[in-house]
Amino acid sequence: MNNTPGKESVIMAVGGGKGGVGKSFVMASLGMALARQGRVVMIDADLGGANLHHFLGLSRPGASLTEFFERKVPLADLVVDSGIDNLGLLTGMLGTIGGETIKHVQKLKLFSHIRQLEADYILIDLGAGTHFNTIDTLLLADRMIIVITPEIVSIENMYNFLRNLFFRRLGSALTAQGYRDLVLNTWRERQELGITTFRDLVDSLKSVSGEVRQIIEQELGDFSVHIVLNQARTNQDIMTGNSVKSICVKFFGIKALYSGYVEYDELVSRSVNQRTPYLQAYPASRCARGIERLTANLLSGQQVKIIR
Amino acid sequence: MKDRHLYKVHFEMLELPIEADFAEVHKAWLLLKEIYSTDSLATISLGDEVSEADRQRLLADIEASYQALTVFFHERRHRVEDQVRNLTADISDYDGATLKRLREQLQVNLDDVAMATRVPLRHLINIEADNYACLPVPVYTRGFVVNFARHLSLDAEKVAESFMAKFRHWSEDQNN
Repeated sequence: MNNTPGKESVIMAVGGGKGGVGKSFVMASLGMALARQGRVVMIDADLGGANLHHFLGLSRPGASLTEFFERKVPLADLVVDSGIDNLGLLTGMLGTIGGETIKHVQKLKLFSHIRQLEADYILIDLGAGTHFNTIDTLLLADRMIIVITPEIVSIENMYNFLRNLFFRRLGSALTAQGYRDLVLNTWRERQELGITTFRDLVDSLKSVSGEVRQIIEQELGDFSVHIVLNQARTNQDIMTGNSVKSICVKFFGIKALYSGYVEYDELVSRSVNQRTPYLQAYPASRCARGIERLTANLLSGQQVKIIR
Repeated sequence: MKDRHLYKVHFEMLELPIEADFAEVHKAWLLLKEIYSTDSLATISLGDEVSEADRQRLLADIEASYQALTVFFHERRHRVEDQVRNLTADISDYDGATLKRLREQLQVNLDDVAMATRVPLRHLINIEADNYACLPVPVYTRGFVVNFARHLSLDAEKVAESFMAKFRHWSEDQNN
């Protein structure tokens, strides 16, 4: 469509945190909104349970990533039509081949093929949890999206996931520079070093040497996450997203952007059961408008404006 | 913009870009105070990550940044007001051309005026050009002129009275 050869597609991925916060719903809706602007391929890479198709009103597609790994079928051939203009779907079902055990090399190969897909936007839906497969895939995306709901469990999970995400990335960067296991070893000695918080650990690592400090600052500088608050019911819920962002910036020193919130709507689960994509069934709802604002913010780098 | 860079840490503390105006600074300060002075979902979920002492220190930092920026904006306002007083000392009559000249002397961009005052750009252009024929009815035009003048830290009443007198003259000429 708008895709000219050689033009890089933007890869956005969602993952981590708590299950059931609406990652797949947010991604499916985001995909539909983006499909109005360009060619979109959505990839359901949820290791445990691929269910993205439900949010697009589809039955489970026949083709899946399994064929890519087992029979070397080109990735583009596995993309199925979603029934929505400009939107293709690639289903994971990695669970069936033991998704937990894909080798790093395979992941890199998969990702380089993903990058070559003909699309303006590629959206990857990863599972919940902090498995390193999820984390590594997320780290390869151009936009890392974390979905939260205004609940303690979800927010606590998110902080935890963010810590894991950043240290995994820092670990790889340090390993590449010859500091293998530095993060892990420092963490193991946390009691002797008096480390209790994320900041303590970062500060302790920075004091190792000038070079390490430089690597850490570089990594922190390049690292950013997009926070999406789903199922907002009150203004206070909407504000919670802003507070979480502030905390990431202030206490973790991590660049977080509050890219959007989506209001709670019971009709979401009803439209899933009725096999109609929510955004098509209720395009004028408050929830749909939230998705549109989120889409615009993700592309422009703007954040939610708090109005009081 | 150069002096704003000296206040970069304070803008960052309030999570604002360095172009932010005072209204935004004030709003951000209120918001951050609220986030960190009361227990909320977002802070409770942090668990042991943040001690009470950390939180108090952060609140003190937020306050200090707000104070520093308040002084910054206050002094800037005074500087602008002094400059305006000097520039307008000999002006008793305000037409569009005078407003345009003052705006340029104060190095204010017309797009920024439109953005801040929410007066449509084309009306600002027509005001500056004394293009009365294209301006809306007096009640609207007066409001636009007041907002424009206020944005330039001018005496808005005086400017509006002077400008509207000319507008009125022109209308009367049209009717005769």
